[in-house]
Amino acid sequence: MRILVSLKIVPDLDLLQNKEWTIINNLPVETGYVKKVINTYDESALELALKMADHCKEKSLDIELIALTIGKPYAGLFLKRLLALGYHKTYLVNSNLDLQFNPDAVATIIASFAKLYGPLDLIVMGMQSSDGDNAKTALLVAEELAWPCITGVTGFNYQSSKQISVNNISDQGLVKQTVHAPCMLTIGNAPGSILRVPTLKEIKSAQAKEVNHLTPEELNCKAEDPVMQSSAEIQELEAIDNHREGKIIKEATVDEKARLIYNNYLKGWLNK
Amino acid sequence: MMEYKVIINACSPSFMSRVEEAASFIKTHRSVLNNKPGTDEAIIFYNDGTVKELVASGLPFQVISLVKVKRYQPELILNILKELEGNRPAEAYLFPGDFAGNELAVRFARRLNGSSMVTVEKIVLKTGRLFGLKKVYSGNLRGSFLLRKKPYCLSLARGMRKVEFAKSEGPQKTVMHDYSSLPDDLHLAEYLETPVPEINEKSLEKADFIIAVGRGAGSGKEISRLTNIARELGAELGVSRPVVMNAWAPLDRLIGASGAVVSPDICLALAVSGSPPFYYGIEGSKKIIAVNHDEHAPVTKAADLVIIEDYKKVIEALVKLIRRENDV
Repeated sequence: MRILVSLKIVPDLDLLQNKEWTIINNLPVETGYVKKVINTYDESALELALKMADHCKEKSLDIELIALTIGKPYAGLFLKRLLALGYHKTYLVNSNLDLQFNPDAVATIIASFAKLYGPLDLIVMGMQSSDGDNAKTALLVAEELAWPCITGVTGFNYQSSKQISVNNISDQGLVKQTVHAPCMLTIGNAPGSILRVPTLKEIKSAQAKEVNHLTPEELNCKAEDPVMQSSAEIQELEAIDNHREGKIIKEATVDEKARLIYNNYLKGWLNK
Repeated sequence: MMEYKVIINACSPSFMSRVEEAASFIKTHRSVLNNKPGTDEAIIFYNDGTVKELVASGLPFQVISLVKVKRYQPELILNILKELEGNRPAEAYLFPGDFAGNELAVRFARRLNGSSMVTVEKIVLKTGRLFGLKKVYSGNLRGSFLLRKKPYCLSLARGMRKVEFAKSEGPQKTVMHDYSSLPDDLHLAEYLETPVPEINEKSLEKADFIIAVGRGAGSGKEISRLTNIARELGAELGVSRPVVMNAWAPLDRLIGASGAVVSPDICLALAVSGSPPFYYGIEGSKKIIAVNHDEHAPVTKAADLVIIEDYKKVIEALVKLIRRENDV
């Protein structure tokens, strides 16, 4: 079974202070100086695929894990880490295109990779990234490939050489289903899927492995192609004002602080 | 002004909440979404007879297409939608911001060669061009997007302030479609659905008092302790994403952009940093009281009362005080 996990390297937005979001005069926001991390939902996708590989290894079943990202050269360092963790092949599509708010272009590139480097049985990716927040890419890839797509996935496993068992959350409740490959899965909140850390031994043994480099053009994707244009085009950004007139209580005893919460808020509510 | 239709998944137990959200959005965007009087239209997918009763009791739509299906299954629903709407699409389709709405909006737009956006808070019409506004950068900023092609397929942001909607006056036109005998999509080999108990589904979104806990709680044991305290105080316990990811609390306790969006009278936020994705879930609270030892945490700017203290000490003192005051 061949599984592609598509991931995005994003700035760690948690490191930015509130005030750093207030000076917005241009597009896109400059986050180049912020430390980079794997997008949190993609991290879950990567770990869930590794869990499936663990299962297959135990049962001596064939599985190939492939990781793909689109972006700048620094993304290669993350792909190296994935090689150490057990991904068999990794691909970096080097691109200077501004893709943050262009899920259509990203989906076109991923779908094109799937066509040229397939056949694939499964594509797995996070439901959305933390910077673009588009939440569309996986759905567009599924449409481009005419594959079924399951959203809200919390876990999946090998069922047979052409079937995958999938757990997901839907509006109806928890769903357990078995699906025929090929299929697209998007990962939402999947408890217990924090990406594992490679051991020193794993890092050392992966040193000789290379990240494969591609360009959008090599995948037959040209920036000017109509399919590479976003159907919803970013125009401007504005700050969000969540400010409340918060009274800050610092210098008081713990009992006084508890009394303040009780008298001003909870007493009335509890006596309702 | 645009001709539009609402598409709702009524296989979900939260169907009426989603109707209310859609109705609120429509009411606040009447200048853009202006169907001819008496022609507000909804396409409702259902698999349970009780939906018919809800429809009969009054919905804010005058024209309703009731589509019976065996179950909610996106591949089948998309094919049915294409069959029903493909020949003469409306200018815009609105979907609630649930799992179904988000996936259908994007995929349906692609099939009709239109434009899509998910979690849209607002739409604006300027010189004949439609712009959708939504949160981006994990909720730190709001982006305005030009929707380039009709039909516009939009899923709506959740937690929109609900406004009273007028049930449709006069006769409703209901058109019935039955697709329940269609076989499952070919990719599906087996399917088992376990409904989430109603109590979980509604407890957070309907709660008046919520104790919200962040990763500062530090362990599953502490979350269990706080769950008991919340129960004693008559509150519901909600948690941030890191708490769920560490499996300290079940997923149905998650508050935030990818969890429950709540609007209680009081939200007591303990050890919560106040990152935008989490704040998205509690911003509808009437009063937010934050207890945090870090006076620089973002939540201190977005709360009504901020207590700088170790939350464990405060909650302990608070419980003692409440017991004493109420002679328990």
